[in-house]
Amino acid sequence: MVKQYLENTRFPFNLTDRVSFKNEIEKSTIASTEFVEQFENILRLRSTLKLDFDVDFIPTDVLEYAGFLFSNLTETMPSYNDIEEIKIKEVLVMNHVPNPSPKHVNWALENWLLVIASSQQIVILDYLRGYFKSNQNDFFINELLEVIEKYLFREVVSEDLDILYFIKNIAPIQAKILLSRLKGKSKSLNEEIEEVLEELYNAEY
Amino acid sequence: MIVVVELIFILLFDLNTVLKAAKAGLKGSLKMAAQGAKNTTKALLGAGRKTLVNTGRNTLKVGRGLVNVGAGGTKLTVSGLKNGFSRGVKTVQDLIGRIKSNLSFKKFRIRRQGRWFKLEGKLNPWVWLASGEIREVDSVKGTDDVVRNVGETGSFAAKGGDEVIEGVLIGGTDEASNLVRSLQTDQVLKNNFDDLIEEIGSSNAGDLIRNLDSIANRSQTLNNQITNLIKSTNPKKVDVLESISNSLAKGNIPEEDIIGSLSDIIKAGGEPDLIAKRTQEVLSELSNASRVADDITGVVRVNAVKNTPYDLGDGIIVKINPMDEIDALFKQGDDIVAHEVKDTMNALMDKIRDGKQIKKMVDWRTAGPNRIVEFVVESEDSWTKLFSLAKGKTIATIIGERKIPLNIGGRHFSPDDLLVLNKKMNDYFNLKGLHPKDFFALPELENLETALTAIGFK
Repeated sequence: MVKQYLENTRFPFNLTDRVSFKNEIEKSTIASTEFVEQFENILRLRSTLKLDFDVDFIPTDVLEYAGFLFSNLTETMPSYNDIEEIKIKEVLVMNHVPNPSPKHVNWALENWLLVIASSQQIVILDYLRGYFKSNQNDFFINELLEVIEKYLFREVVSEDLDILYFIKNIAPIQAKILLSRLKGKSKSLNEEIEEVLEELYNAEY
Repeated sequence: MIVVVELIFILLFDLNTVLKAAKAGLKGSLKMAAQGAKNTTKALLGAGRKTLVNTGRNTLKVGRGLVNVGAGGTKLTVSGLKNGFSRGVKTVQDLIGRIKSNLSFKKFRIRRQGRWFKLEGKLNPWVWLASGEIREVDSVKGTDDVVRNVGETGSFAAKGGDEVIEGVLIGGTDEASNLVRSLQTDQVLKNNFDDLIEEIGSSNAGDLIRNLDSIANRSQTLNNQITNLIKSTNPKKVDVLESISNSLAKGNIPEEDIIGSLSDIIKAGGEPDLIAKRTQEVLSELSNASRVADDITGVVRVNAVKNTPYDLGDGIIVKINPMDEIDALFKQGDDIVAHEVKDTMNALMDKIRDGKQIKKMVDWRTAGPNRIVEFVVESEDSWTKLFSLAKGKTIATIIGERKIPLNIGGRHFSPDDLLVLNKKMNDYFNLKGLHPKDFFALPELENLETALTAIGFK
């Protein structure tokens, strides 16, 4: 399972905690193409994972505070190359999931990767929002939009308000086109998509 | 106009004997108390033998709020049994306290009938404990030309004659209070108000009346909403009235916003759980707004909704889109601040797990300069839910990653604080090695401050 994820995704940065990751991406030497690559990796990884934190084979009391479990996984395996099934099992036992089965291990791995991808996406989008406020780099924007368009009808985009608002803020004209295509096709955000479109049309972009 | 109450009789002597007499089947005698002071005296003296030994005069202070209602807003004084209460009774509350500690009266009330008032205790039926005459005097100044405050004793010149009256000043205005005028003109409000007083007991009514007095006779819409609230089965309506009174007193929380909050409670009508939940939320929202109102000079909008432009002063007009609503919106210095308020961390946890509001808050913050968003949790109750799971992360991590500050029970945490706090708690969790349910039941984690010390958070 671990090997499969390693093959499906490629992280240019280590699976470090968010502070280290933030430091990495804020290095001025990193080219825009690397951001785009990282962003696409995140979307690709997220699209391969199940959004399944609620399961019946993890005790409810343990599940309620599994945020610590995932943090402990990150501490135990700070680098992408550190990921090992035995270490995942050790962390599960330490967090009161005795005798972890392959099902437990897969659950922990998938959801942990999802947590990391989600945190890294927040850092990237936050950084880029700030960057585009003072830099109008159309080439960079277009590359990001191409990645988003590729995943437009996958849940990682169609059900993610962060990305929809991100498009609206960095590229309002292109956002009208992308969101119009998405209109009525989201499971949970159609109302928000309509509102963003209305806002964009009212602003006459 | 000033009114004097002359207390002419009270049953407060050897109360244990009175109780014994009552228990021994002397209900008939007690019932007679309602027929008149003299009859009661005879009845109880006869039946209880040593029950009543003193019918002399004494002086009582009567709480202003208690009497204002019945007295039509006039100035009131009390003069009473001078000798009977030498045992130290100084106020009506004190008197009631003594009676309560000795007898089985569950409730007390003061009723006014024309120029007379009656103090009654509820022993099924209501038992007349005291009565007195209400008199008007010319001035709040005593015959010694010294101005008396409400509650102070003195000799006063009776109105329209040369008579001098000993008593306690219990009202200092000629004008009817706002509440009294509302009650005089609104029969529905009066009926609901009477029910409410009956419900909470007249001995607990002082604060309620003061709060209602500060609310009454505002806009018709607010009056209507207050009437609806009083009429409702909401168990916390007294708290809500106090909160509304406090908010209106600030002056910079618009009445229309308070009406909006009240509407939210009233709209929740029918479902007790929903009413209780919404009531608690509104109390937290108003409490937060009142606190904010103390710190700023401009306006605090409560329960702002989307698509509405809000004028926050200094030419700042702002909408809250894409947020659907936000609990407090105000300008503080150069910043425009939006507060999402919850009564407990449990309630915030539900909001974070839903996920939409926090993303909308971040987008609103991004959409304009100098915008700040903050979560406010009024109570420390269930504060350790800060470490419960939402989409794979703890609530603390989610809020910290979004760079949103959090205020719990008056303690401020910056976004970085939240991430450090989360790490410290995680380390403590690992150190203890306990099952989560045992870990979060540790006594040192029950209280926020002791927990912060225990986990080494500075």
